[in-house]
Amino acid sequence: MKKLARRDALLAGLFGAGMVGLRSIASGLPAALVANPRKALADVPADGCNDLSKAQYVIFSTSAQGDPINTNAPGTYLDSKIVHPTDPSMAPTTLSLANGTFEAAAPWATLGATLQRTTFFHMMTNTPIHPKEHDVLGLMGQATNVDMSSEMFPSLLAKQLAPCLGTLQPQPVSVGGSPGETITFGGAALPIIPPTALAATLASQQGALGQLHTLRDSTLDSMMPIYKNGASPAQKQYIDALVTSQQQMLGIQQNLLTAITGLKDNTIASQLTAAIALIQMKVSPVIAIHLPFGADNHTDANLANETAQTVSGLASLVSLFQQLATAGLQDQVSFLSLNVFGRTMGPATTIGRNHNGNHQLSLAVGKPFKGMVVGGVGPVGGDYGCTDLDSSTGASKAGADVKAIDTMTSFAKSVMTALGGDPATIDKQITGGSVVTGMLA
Amino acid sequence: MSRRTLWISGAFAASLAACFLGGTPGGGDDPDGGATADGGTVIPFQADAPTVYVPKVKYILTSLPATDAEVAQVTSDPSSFASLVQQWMQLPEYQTKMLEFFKLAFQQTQIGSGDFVFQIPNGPGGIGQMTQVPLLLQNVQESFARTAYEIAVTENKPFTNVFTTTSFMMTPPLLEMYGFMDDWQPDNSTNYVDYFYNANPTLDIVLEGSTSIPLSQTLDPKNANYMHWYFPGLAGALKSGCGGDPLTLTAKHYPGTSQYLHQLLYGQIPGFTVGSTSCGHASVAGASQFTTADFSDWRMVNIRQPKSGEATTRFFDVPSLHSASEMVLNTPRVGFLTPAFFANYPTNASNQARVTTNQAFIVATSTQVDGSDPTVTTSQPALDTAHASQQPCFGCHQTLDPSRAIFLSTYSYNYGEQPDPTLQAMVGRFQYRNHVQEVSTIYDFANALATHPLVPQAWAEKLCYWLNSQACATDDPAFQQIVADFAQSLSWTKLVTELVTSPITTNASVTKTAQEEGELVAVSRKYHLCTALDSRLGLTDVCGLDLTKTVYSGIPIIAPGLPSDGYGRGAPVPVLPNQPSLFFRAGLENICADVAPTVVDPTTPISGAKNYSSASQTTVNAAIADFVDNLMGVVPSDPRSALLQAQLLAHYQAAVATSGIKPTDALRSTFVVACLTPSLGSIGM
Repeated sequence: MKKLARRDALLAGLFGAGMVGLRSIASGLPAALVANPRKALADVPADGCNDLSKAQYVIFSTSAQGDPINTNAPGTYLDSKIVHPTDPSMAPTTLSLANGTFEAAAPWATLGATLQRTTFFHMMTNTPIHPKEHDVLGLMGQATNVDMSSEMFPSLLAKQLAPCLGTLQPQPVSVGGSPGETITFGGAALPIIPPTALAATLASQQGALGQLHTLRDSTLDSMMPIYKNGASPAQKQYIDALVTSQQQMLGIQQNLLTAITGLKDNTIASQLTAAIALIQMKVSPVIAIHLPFGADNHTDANLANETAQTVSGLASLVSLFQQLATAGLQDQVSFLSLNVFGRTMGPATTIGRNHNGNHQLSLAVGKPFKGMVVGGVGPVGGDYGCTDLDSSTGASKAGADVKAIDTMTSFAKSVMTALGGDPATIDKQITGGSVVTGMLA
Repeated sequence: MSRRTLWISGAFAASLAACFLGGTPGGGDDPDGGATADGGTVIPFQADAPTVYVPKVKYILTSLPATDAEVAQVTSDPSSFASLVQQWMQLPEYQTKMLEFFKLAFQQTQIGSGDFVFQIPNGPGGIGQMTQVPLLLQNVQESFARTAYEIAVTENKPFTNVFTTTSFMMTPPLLEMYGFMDDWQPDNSTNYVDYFYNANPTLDIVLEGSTSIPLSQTLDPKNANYMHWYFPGLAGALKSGCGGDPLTLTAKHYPGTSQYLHQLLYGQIPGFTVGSTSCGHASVAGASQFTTADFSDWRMVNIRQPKSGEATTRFFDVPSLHSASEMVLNTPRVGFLTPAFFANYPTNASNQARVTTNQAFIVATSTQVDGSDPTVTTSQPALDTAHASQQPCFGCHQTLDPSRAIFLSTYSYNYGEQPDPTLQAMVGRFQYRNHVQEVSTIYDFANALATHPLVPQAWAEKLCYWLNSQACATDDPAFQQIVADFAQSLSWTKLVTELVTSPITTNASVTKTAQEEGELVAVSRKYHLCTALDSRLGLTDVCGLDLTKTVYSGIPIIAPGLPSDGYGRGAPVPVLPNQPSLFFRAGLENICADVAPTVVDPTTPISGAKNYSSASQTTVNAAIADFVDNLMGVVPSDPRSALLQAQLLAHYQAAVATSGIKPTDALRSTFVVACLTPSLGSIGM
């Protein structure tokens, strides 16, 4: 190996191998993080992680279409006037859960043993409007950072979990969905990375260019002070973000990319494969996907589309949990869902369902959750909405301490608590609602 | 609230009436929009020099690098910047960039073939499954942007003419599609009316694989070979039991005669059944009536409705489509209310075109029905009393329902002709944000949008987002003056010129926008980055964004993951990922590495592309100089230029000194470094 150029040798002498000091200056990051971002992040829990033992990766599904995931789940068969698909594949089936037996459409039974760690949370998002997807993800304005700046629920989760899990980045990663389902983090919109692009994006160069990778990083580090000298604050901010992203990139475990190499489409199956791979690579604590469950089915004769996508949606979930088990991640990953709204359920819905701001069903599946039904369904405004519920048991009960209007924030608080969040911090981050202790495993 | 989060608050605008889009009222919406102050701090202002803002503006407008002479000119005479900008606006690269802006601003993208299943019901996947459908879909999404550019830029007509135009930039295949959709009318449910079949109920279609039939005979109703289509390769494409050559497709066979014609025009044997055997749906190379070049053959075509007794345009008459400057269609087509726009926003019996109307308001005025409309309505024709019976709902429905009535009287829920006499007779009124106008046709509605007083500010603001990745402060006197000038001139070119040379964009001096928003250096999003690579390196569509171009790299696989501009339903402002992430950084490195062999010591040089050589130190020095000047766009007079060149040279020297590394590899690695710098990867560095 020939000697380095004089300038590089000088810089190396000044700052040592890897130019850690220089990179630290350029980025403003602690030198420890620059030197070894993964180890440094792993060190963070002492300062930022409340309860490492409860932290989980999260696969977070959201739909701005307001899928009818709420209409055939356990808890919706207690009122005989609620309309369900008549297709035999959706026949009512009894599920045994921690707080009793409930009927549900047959596909839910396919979850098998996973049902014992599946919480069915009946809630209302308080909007029947598609464009309010972002509001709902922000818990209708009730989700904030501790400095009171607005935040989305999945991003609050990511901020809570990143220090515990030592992920490469704290921001969630979206691998599915439409622009209307864009996740924001600190007010900044995050891009949606389709599964087909993931492997080619994250793969490191091979051959000669791969051999020179470290040298390129060093050169780029050397260039940053040139950009920063005299730069405006906005330019400096961008450079800092870029340097951070470069350091995060170094932590990508290339050997784990094989799972997503060759993904040919952006279907839900590919999204799940991508999500698991990103979790294995410790890229982010929260991976966002779009799991279809019947879509915006205003016109849906015999609820055929709802039937088909409920069957396929559950099959996807079953597949997800099987893949997690195969990867040994079944106790480290939770699945959550939160859609913009649910659908109507009354007698006029056989040819399709309308938006329902009074009822939506969220799932919380994983080791931290009990297999149970939280809350319930009752007549509201000519159709059906969620009921009040008891925070200690999760039982549906008119006049109980958690009012219907507070069910969404209660879901969020319960999830953050289950995943090891500090109660006092959670209370600051989510105004309203209560932790439903009964659903915590 | 900082405007940095305005797009969110727009989407969040919680004062949208709870029952706005159908369904059960949720009630209790937060009147503040659900978003509290984001608590973010505004970045302190520091004025930018011409070495920063001249390259920034040229990057956005053309993706080309600024030259030293251009920076020197503005440095010595800042007032000359406007004339420089106008020169750049004559470049073909400006058209490329502006088309992308118009596509997004008029919400013509973000759709796939499946999004046409409502407008083209009971067909195979809506628009079809032919191999050329992706090209057709690209035409659909580009058409209106090209129309807007033609009217507002090339012809320099008042910008609002774009809203009311009945002339559109179209290709022969797009003419076919519009004509086919006119003959295949979707009703208010899931059914269709096949006009061609109704006029020719006994006419079979015959495919001839071995006998070459002149198209003139095929299209001549008086000829014995009328509707006998020459379809080379027919016999080999048919499954066993599906008939032979010639193949007769019986009239009114599912899915229908017009569908048959639509599919075979693109070289696909239409789907049909023989007994229980499913046949057809096979694409045959060489059988399409359209070449790839046809999808790039753009011209303005006026669309009008037929006069009494006049026939509509025959969508299958391909030779005529190639020369047509006019189409006669039953379905009215006006402004940005295109099939692409409708594909974005399907409606139904519950929604009743409210989403269509609201999105039209968003496109035209960058506002939406959210309960804040100050219009005092004296009456509410076409009010949906079931929806608007509650006071919180009435606030939105009093303006939305009358305005949406014209959609219902004009179009079916699936955007065909409205077949229901009751709905045809519906009379409403455009009344939105203090602009009240009687409308009796969809053309009147388009005119009402065009004359809405909010249009000038809305489009100046859309341009702000595109230029600066954030809002302009509406109370900024500099912005207000630009809006006032645009309202008077309606000149798109003048608006662009004023806004890009304003300190709002250049940050040459502090503005109220800068005080309120701070300055933002944003990541170079997909289209900016890809066009920069093209224009600076002499490449053609390196990211594979144009399906009519040949793909020659692996970048199209990565490009979909790059941060990109987008829009969301009900969001008055665009979705703009601005921050670099590890995905952006990793993806960009792989893009740069993919480009490197194409331009550095290429095995097969591409005509017109850069050809950097590592043959000698002289050529290496020249390459590195070009990396900085051209690829990175840092002009030689910029104090950073020499320092950056020195770093790249040091990299080359260190690389070439590495065991096993050849000069070619070293220069390619140096290219990748240059490509990864924030000069190229961001806008405003």
